[in-house]
Amino acid sequence: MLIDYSKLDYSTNTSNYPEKFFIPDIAVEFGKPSHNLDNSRESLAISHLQALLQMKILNSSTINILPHQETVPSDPKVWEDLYLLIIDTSYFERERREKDQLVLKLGISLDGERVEDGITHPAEKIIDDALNSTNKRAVYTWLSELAVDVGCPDMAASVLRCLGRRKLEPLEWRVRVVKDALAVDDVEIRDAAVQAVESWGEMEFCNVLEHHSEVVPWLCNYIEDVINDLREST
Amino acid sequence: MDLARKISRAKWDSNLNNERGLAKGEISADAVTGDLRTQNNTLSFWQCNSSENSSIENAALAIAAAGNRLDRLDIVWLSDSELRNDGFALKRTDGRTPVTDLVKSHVDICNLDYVRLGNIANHLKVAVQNEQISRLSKNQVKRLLTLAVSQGRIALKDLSEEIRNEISGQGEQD
Repeated sequence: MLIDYSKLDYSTNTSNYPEKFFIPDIAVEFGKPSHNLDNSRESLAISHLQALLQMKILNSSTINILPHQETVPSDPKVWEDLYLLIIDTSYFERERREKDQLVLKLGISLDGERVEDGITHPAEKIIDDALNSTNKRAVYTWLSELAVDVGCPDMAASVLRCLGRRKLEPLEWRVRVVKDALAVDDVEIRDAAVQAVESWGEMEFCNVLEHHSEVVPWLCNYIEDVINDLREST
Repeated sequence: MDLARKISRAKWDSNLNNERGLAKGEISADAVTGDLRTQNNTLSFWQCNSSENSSIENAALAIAAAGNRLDRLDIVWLSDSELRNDGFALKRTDGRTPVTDLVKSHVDICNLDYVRLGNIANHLKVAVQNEQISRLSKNQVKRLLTLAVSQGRIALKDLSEEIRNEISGQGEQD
């Protein structure tokens, strides 16, 4: 299979940084450059499987394949240093299994016991354990997806409420989760997002709440209370 | 007199049922299974007088002090005379709360079966529609607990460690 690298839009791939990325450093082994964008923007001949996987990675806004870098420069030229040669295909399968296991554990825990105000929930420990795993960045991505999953609103709100009980880093990740949750057409998820903000008690969220236009009166009142509390606390 | 209980308001807003595929006015099963968990066919309530804000706050205090973390609370209340008129059996029992002067303000609705529990759910739905519900923010709950401790209504040692840390200004999350 041939990939014409000159037709890949690298700027698109980098546009989401640094908000949303993780480094599958286990999966991707780096060796000799398989291409050099400076000198040869022509097509490369690689195996069909590798080509598919490279395409998957390059076209994914959630995956950063730069090695060992915690902060990613926004300059698209950084892609010119990309050395991608061998991809461990088992990585994707393992990651899928890990995600399924996390969803299953959370589902069982939340089915057995609802998240109740004023009471800690076993799902909080499951989230802690998942975040202590080696695949921490992927776990963040899965949790942010679960927290706004309108297909399972009850679980989404519960996950969000558990996340609200953890002051997880980075702050930018939490801001994005709250923004996404407030945009959802489900009052329980939006309510859980506001509760998370109240629980974290950080001024950075004031702006997010102020820019949210809420249609449900009681939730609107709650948002005003939380904004006032945040202001008072500073 | 009224009977108050903690619920999760978002689950009881039947105006928003279309978001969950239910018709307006229907009671979500999640609300019933989540907020009306019975023990020995009884449901726990705290006595209060809804015309007095401090009385509702007392019910919130009893509930919050029995928890192990500080959160906002949704407190809904029902008229006990309406419940009696509907044939519900109400029984005074000691409540599980470290607020010693509120232990005796606890009532169980007893002998609940599937139909009666549904009837309670209906009462709660109407109560929420009629705004017989109060949301206390996390800060309000914190202030209630702090005041109760300073008044000697709760022994600090009887609160969970997390709540103790929060009200003594050391609130840290994991």
